[in-house]
Amino acid sequence: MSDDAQQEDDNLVIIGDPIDPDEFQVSLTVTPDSITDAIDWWDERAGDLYIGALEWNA
Amino acid sequence: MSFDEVSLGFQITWNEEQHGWQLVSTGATIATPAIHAEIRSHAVLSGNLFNDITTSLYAAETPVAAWQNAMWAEIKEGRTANAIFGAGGVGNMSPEAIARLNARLAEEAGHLANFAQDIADGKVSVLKARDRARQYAQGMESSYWDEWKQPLTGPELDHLPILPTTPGNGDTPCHGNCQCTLLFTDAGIIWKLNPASHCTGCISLAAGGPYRGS
Repeated sequence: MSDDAQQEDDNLVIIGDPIDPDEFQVSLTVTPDSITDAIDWWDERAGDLYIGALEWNA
Repeated sequence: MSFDEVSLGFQITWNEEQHGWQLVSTGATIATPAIHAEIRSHAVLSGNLFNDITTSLYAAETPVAAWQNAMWAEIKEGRTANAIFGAGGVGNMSPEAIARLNARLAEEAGHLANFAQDIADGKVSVLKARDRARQYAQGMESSYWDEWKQPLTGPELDHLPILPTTPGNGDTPCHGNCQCTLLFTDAGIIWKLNPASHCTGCISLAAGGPYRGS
């Protein structure tokens, strides 16, 4: 590691403490809302293929 | 989502017989390279997000708990979307598929917890943290392949070994940072080495096929 990088790391301050996964704001497991959110996440971002088709497996 | 919004992209539908996606408008099959490009385009965006929030964490702009929450929200959405994509749509997200996805998410949550603790303990430099964070994005495509390969089994494939891992899973020397894809042929699943430098793990997987999915 270069001296600059080492100095950068030596000055780092991490705020707060880690939390356990069961404290996450978003649930750990998939729910129906998770499915909807994931489809929107995919379709509303950059990309050409929309999985939020109006007719699933038509 | 309105019709007008959807018209900016391409609506796709799953063809069970061909085990692949096709355009709703023309019925044309979407080739694996296009599927892979789509997965990778989302992974790049996730990777950029992970890079940025990790930089913010190390700049003392974001508490580590907020960093964890932001990482987790993106990881969960990315893996869920990839699983839906690989399964062939929401209609194919069976209870078994949901269980597989939940198991994978539990693993990722554990890895993220370890990562956060390593950061809090001062064990990870900012450069390594950004690189390690980006790997969560690279790994998301494994959820696509996890579901894609599941139905590729049956008596005609029983003589084949089960595919031991998937592209993006991270358990090859390239840590999933490769351009490999899977193809389904009459002979079974092929591990395809697309143009790139390949690690010994992926080369071995390509030579070890064909495989069955489950």
